[in-house]
Amino acid sequence: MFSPNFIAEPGIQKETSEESWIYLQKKVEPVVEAPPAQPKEKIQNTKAKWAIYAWAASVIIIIASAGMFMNPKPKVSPDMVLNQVVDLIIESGYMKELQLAEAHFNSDYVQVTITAGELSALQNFTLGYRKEDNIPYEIFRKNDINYVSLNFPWEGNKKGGSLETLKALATKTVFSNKISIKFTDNNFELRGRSSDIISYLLQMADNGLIQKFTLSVYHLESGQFYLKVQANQV
Amino acid sequence: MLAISQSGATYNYLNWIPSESGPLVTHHGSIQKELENPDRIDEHYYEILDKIFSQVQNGDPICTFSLDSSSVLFSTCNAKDKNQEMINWHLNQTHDDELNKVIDYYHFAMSSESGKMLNIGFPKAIRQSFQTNMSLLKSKLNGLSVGIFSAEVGARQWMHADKNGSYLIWKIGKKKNDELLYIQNGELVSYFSIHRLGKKGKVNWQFGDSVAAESICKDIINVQNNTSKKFSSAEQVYLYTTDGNMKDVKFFHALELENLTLLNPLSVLETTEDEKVHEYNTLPLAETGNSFGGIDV
Repeated sequence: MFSPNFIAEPGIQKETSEESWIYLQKKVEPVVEAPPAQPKEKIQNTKAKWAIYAWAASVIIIIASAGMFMNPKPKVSPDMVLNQVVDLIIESGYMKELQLAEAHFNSDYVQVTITAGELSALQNFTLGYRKEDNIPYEIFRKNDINYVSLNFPWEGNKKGGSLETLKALATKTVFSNKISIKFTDNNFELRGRSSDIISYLLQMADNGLIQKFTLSVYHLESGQFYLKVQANQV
Repeated sequence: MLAISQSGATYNYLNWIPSESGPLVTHHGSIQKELENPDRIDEHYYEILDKIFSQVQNGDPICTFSLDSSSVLFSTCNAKDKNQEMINWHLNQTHDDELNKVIDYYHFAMSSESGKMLNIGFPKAIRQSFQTNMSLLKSKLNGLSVGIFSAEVGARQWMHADKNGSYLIWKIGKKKNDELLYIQNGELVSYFSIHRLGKKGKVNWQFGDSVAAESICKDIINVQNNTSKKFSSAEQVYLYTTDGNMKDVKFFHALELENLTLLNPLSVLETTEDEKVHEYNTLPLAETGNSFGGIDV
C-alpha cells in the first residue's frame, strides 16, 4: 500500500517517498572559552603552578599566531545567504524599523542594503547573528536615512541558465493576483507582493537555478517588490 | 517530531520523541482556525504552524502534515504497467488547462489486478505555501499527506494492519456519510464513501473496485442492523472519526465485534505523562499516521 507524500515531485509515485523540505537553521553556539582543566590533585608547590602557567601561555601564543597567519575567509553557504535575503524580505513586510532596500546577487558576492530611520536599529541588527558569520558590512547615512550594506560571499557564476527556463518556472509557480511579469530578450522581471518574490526565489533554488543568474531584488516605495533576473554571460 | 492533521477548521497535533521503547508522546491537542481569506492561504497555514510550534516548543521544529481530503481532487484511470502516456491521455480528457495551472497531479498504483491508478490532484498554492512556511519558520517538513491515507499509514505502523490479508480503514463522517479504504494483499482495492441509511445504505462515490465497495457497504449495514456479529468483507476493520461524530463510533464500538479496532494512536503509544487517555476524544489523532511511516512502534 502506498503512502502519499506530496513533497515529492508530481507524476507517477513510488510506494513510499522520503522527500522533505528542510530549512532548519544552523544553531550558532556561543563560543565559550573552556575553563582550564582542573588538576585532579591539588597543586601544592609554586614550581608546579608555574609549569602550568607556562604551558597555558604557550597554547595561547600558538592559537593567536595561527589566527594571525591563517585569517580564514568567511564561509557562508548559498542556502544560508538566500535564507537571509528571504528573511529580510519577510521582515520588511511587518517591521517598520528595518526595511530591505535592495539585494544584488552578483557573480562572487551578494550585496544586501537595508535602511532604517534609527541608527540604533541598524547597530542592533549588525550586533546580531549576522556579525557572527564575519560578514563585512558598512553603515552610512544619506538624506536622513540610515543604511547598512552587507556583502555575503556567493558563487553565482554557474552557467546554463536560460530565460526559457525562467518562463517555464513562472508558469509552475502560483502567484497572487497582484503580479506583473515581463520578459525581454535578456531579462525576466517580476513585480508583486513579497510572497510572490519569495515563492519564485525558492522555486529557482529548488531547481538549482539561483546561481546560474544575476538577480536583483528591489523594495519599491509602493511596498511592492521587484525582481529582475538576467542569465549569466557565457 | 510534530505530527499535525487538518479536519476542516480543526488542527490536531501530536508530538513524539524517539525512546528505547518506541515513540513517546510528549504533547497532543488541537487548535481551531477558520480560513478567513482564501487568497492568503500561505498566511493561514503560517499562523497555524507557528501557533502549534510555540505550544509544543520542541527544539528543532520537525513536522509532518496531513491535509483535509476536501482540499484535493481524486480520480482514477486505467494505466496498466503505470503507462505515463495513458495517464496523460486521461488527464487531457478530464481536465482543462486552467485546472492544470493550479493543480499538481500525483498517480498511485491501485491493485495490480485492476491495473488502475488513483490520481490525486494537490493544489500548487497549498504545496508552495508549506514550502515557504517551512523556510520562514526555519523548520523541516518530513511528510505531506491527506486525510484517510495518513490514517492508513498509522494503522500499519501502530497496529500492524498490513499483517492481515485484507483490512478496512473506516472514517465515520457527518450525517452517516463515511469514507473508507479497502486494502487487500497490501494493495489499495477501493477508496469510497457510503451513506449508512436505514436498512439499505448506498455507495456515494467510489474509486477502484465497485463490487468490493458495494459488498463492504452491505456488510456494514448488516452489522449496523445487528444481523451480523462480525465484518466478513475484511479480516480487520479500523474505525475512527475526526469531526466529533462520537455517537456512531460508540454505537459500533459497543457492539464488541471481534474484528473491529478503534484507530487511536494513544491506545498504542506511550505518553510522558501518566494521563488517562480518552479513547474517543483523541480519535482525530488517527490522521497523524504519516508521521510514523517507517518507524518501529
